[in-house]
Amino acid sequence: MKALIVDDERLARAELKRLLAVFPDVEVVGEAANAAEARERLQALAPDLLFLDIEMPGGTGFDLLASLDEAPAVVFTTAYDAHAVRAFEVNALDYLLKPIDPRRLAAAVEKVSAAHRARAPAPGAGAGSGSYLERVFVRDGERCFFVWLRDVPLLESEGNYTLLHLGSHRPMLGRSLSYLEERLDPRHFFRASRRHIVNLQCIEGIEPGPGSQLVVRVRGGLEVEMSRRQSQRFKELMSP
Amino acid sequence: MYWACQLAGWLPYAALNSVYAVGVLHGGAPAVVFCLWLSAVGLALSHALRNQIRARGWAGLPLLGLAPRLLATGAVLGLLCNAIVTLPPLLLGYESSRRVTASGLVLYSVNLAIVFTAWQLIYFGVKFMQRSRRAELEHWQLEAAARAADLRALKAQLNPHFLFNSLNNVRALIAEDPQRAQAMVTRLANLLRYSLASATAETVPLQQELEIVGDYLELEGARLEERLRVRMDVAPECLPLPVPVMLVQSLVENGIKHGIARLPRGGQIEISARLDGPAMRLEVSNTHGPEADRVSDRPAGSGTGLANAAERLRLLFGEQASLQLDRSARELTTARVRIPTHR
Repeated sequence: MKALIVDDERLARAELKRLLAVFPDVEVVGEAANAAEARERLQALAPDLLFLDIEMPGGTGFDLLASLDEAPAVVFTTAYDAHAVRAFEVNALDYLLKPIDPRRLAAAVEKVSAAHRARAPAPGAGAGSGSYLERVFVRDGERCFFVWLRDVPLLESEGNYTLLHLGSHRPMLGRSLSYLEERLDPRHFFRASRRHIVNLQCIEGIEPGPGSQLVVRVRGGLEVEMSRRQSQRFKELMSP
Repeated sequence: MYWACQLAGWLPYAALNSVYAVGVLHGGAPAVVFCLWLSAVGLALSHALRNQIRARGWAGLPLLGLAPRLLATGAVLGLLCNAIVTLPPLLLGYESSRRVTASGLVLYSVNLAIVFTAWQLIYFGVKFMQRSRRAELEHWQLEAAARAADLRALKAQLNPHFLFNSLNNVRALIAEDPQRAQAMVTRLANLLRYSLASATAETVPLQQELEIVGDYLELEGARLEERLRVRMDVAPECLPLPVPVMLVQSLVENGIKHGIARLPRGGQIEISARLDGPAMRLEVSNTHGPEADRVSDRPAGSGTGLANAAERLRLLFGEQASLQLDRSARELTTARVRIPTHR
């Protein structure tokens, strides 16, 4: 696994690098001292794992993640921040307290490794290297967490933002619907209309609507009316 | 509780008297009635006395002031009680006037005076016990509150974020630069010791405070590296002057926490001290980002910290001492402290 260390303190980065040296399947491919550098390194190196310090000048770790397209696996680090730690626990995010206990680090690395192995390996492609968008990091008021897009039945346009319909809550993603359409796997996501993208794996029923339009019902009970053109395309796609 | 005591006193008194009257003096039912009547009068008079004690606040008097009042009241009430108790039976014919003698009256008055004096002694005794129990309770409550405040202050001073980051950096330095790591451990120990000692000391010479500030800045320097620049401009004659313990340290800490650490490119801390007439002028300034120039963007909690520091200054050095925050310059905050050199 390729790892990127993001921390504004050089000594903290050096210390984590030293600790990670004992893990044969973790290779530290780069470092960043702030959010801007991190963004650039993420783009260039496409790491699988991100060690992210929360307290950084000019933008916290959460801000950085929310601004990314694809969110790689993240382990947060902090010296002491009661608020951040509460956020980590509430959202079941992985975190480590500095000075990092090597045993805790081992547990975190193992967890990420396991998840990494379990995912269908895309040969030669890591996160953010051009493969389809699978996981995003969203902020929902005080909460922030990762969302697997395959679990989102419906995406709705809100100007330059997109609402993810997740049943009880609807977090907002800082990307337009059209932008997402280009990054999502067309085998699983279908642009139903100007306002909606439907997750084909979450469809529960399709009924004919007014005119030749189709009305799709997705998991969670939401109903979406397809535009005439898209209804046509849908029928074409579904016909054998 | 007062009424319980009254009844617990006067009823047995009546009973005792009855026993004596019937058993020794061989009186009959009238004797018992007399005893009850006596207790009733005693109760009424002592109740009136209690109201007077309360109204005049005798319970707060020292022993020397209380004693004459106590004795005088006892005597007066003894006479009064005697009069009230003895006359009606005389007038009503229950008691033959032959049996009443002057010496008998005097003796009986003295007897009753003793009873009323005893009553007062019990009353004031109980009051005294109540007061001292209350005072002790208040004392322990104050102690507990003081300990809790101490603990809070200590927790606030220890700054866990700084502590854990420093420990992490020291650990990193052990491999990279062992001698520097050793120096860092020494500085950290000095800082912690000073923090703990600051709970008891009130003022320290500026020189001692600046030594600790120096240690702190070295530790932060390891963390922030080139992002922290320090400038010190302290006049030598200011060094022995007393300053409130941890004042400069907390000003510098705030400056770094809210100003410099938030800037990606870092900033500068400047500490200066000079004599200005009858006072010392101490200034701690730090650069910060433009967003902190907005008055509404004050970091939470720094208001009360500053208010506390200003209050401490005034308590230690009088009304002429002051602490002010100057944010008029762009991207620069200066804390100005004025400490008179003699009260």
